[in-house]
Amino acid sequence: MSLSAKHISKAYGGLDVLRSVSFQVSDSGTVSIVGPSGCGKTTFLNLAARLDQPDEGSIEIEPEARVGYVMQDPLLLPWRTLEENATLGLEVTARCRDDYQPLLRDYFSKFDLRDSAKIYPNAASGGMKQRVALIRTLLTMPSVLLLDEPFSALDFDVKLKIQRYLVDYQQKHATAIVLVTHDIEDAIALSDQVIVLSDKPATIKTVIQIAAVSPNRDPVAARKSPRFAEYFTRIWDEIKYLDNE
Amino acid sequence: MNSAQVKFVNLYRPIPLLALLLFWELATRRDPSLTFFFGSPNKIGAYLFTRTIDGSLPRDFAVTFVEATLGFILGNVVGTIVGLGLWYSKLALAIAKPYVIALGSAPLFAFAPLLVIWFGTGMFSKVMIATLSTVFVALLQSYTGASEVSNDHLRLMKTFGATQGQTFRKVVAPSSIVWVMSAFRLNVGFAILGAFIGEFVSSNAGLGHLILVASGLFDISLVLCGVLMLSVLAFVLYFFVGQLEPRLKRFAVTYL
Repeated sequence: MSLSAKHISKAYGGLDVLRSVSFQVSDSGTVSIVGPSGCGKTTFLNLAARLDQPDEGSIEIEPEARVGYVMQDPLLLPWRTLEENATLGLEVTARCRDDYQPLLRDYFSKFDLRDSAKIYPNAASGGMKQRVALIRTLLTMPSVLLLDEPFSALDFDVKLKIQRYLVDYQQKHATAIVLVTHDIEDAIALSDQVIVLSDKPATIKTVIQIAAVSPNRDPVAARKSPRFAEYFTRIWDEIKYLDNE
Repeated sequence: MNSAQVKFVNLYRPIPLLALLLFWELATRRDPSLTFFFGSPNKIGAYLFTRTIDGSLPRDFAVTFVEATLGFILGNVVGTIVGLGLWYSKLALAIAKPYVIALGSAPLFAFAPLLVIWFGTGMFSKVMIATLSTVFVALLQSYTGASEVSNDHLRLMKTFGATQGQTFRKVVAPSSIVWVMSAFRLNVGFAILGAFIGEFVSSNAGLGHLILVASGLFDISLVLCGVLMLSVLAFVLYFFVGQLEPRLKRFAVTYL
């Protein structure tokens, strides 16, 4: 599935947040959006998830696409166990209702949550909650996946493991991914394109095409590649320049 | 509290009561005329014993218990359903709000004689008064609970494309349980008060009836015996309400 944003503008209470932002994510493609905090990255995802309407422009997603949105805050329901939280999206969308149990168990073991399925969110760490939020969305089998800082609370090794899994998922389901992150390394390792947004009102400052830095987009191999460092420097220079403005 | 503190509390908790009983008993023995105004622990004890043996106290207790409990259940169920339902429709809420506030703040016990006229002097009128005295608390609390639901959770449900009904079942109803439970706890007292007032206005059985008759006879020990049984009734209802909360939460997750 694919997503294309055309001249998106959005203001809140007279304050311009996004101004004429356009880009496209193709089948199995990943676009990362980086930029100063509070510059409107999350606003873009809210528009793409139809939680808000743009003032101008449009975001086109195929009507048959299933959009999954992992918000920055895991927003687990405190009266449900982690496992029950993970099935919330499934209960609502009623997709593959009968045979979800093995898949659920598989996710919990892959995401290092096997022993935590029955605990409640108040006993879980930030990283655990973030993983549950990710499972909650992945179980609904999205074909367009919007991710807002989905790795921010994860340990480095868990993060790489989950990125590896996300790449597999994406290749298997031809998923289009839009990743909002402040972590340049994650952006390079996972994306075909990194979009650097300027400060408010956010416009696209630069689009950097990332040629695959590792076979099969392996997140560990990517970080070892010499080209990785080149991309890092290029993006870092763009962002550094923004901060000095 | 740690276990030492729990022990300390359990050890010292009965002391104020025992001291009061002792002082009260000694004072009334020293000056028997005081018994006329204040009753005496040993007379209260005697009433408890003889009236339990002859079955009249358990019967009065049971009558008030049934009236209060039925009123409690009816008032809470109707109030909670309507209160949560108002979340569903903003228009219904806008129309209902002034009425709810007016009726909820009116001294409903002023209507007690009316209800006895409408529903007779039997148990039913007391159940209705207990229902009326609980229904608005349940309604306001559950509506407040439903409207306090986190906006972020509502947005989350929207990202899954949830219908209003799904959002209600998965998020609004379970998150209101805390509020509904606090209504239940408040309503233990209101339900008993409702049943009691009903009996006070007109009755031939129940703890309210017992207290009314005893105070007519200036038998203070019997009045206090009835008051004591009302407290026991409150304890019993509180106990059941306490058992309800975790079950209600499980029910919401499993079946809604």
